[in-house]
Amino acid sequence: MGKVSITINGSEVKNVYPAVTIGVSAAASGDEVIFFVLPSGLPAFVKGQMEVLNEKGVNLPDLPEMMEGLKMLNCRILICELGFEVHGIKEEDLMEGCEVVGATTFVAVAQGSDLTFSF
Amino acid sequence: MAVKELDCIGLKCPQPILKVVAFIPQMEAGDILEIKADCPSFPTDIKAWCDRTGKTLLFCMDDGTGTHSAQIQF
Repeated sequence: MGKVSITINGSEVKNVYPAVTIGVSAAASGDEVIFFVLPSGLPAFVKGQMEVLNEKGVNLPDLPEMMEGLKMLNCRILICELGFEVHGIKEEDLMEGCEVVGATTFVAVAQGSDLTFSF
Repeated sequence: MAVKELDCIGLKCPQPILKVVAFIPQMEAGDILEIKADCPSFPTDIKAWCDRTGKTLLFCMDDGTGTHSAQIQF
């Protein structure tokens, strides 16, 4: 199967929903999926924020359920370490299953991706 | 060989496909999974999923009200 890398550069519905929808679809089809959350996307990955976005995503699929799907399908969520100081967010504030890394690590992990997306 | 049913009515893309994947551990080789879904993209999505994962889509049809029934052989 393929390898899909998705960067998330915002924490609004228009950033998170397409990223998660495409990511979970790819993972469900057997692809390896890697997300890289840039500083602007970090607030969406604080505990409880997916539920807040879900309420804003009227008539869209259930976001927390898709996040559970990402976990079930072993997708990797890499968080750019630069965002914490920018937003005053602590690592322990993140939802479960995220990995805090630098951009160099993401580039290394994403090598050989068949598809890349940025939202 | 068993026929098992999965109700995906009311779920929006890509949740029906996610439900199918979550159901896989309950399927054995030769089993048939019958899915009902009313997501408009379901017919093309389930065909694409079967093509990519090597599953056999026996049929996918609309009952005329927007509800689709599909059978997949594992």
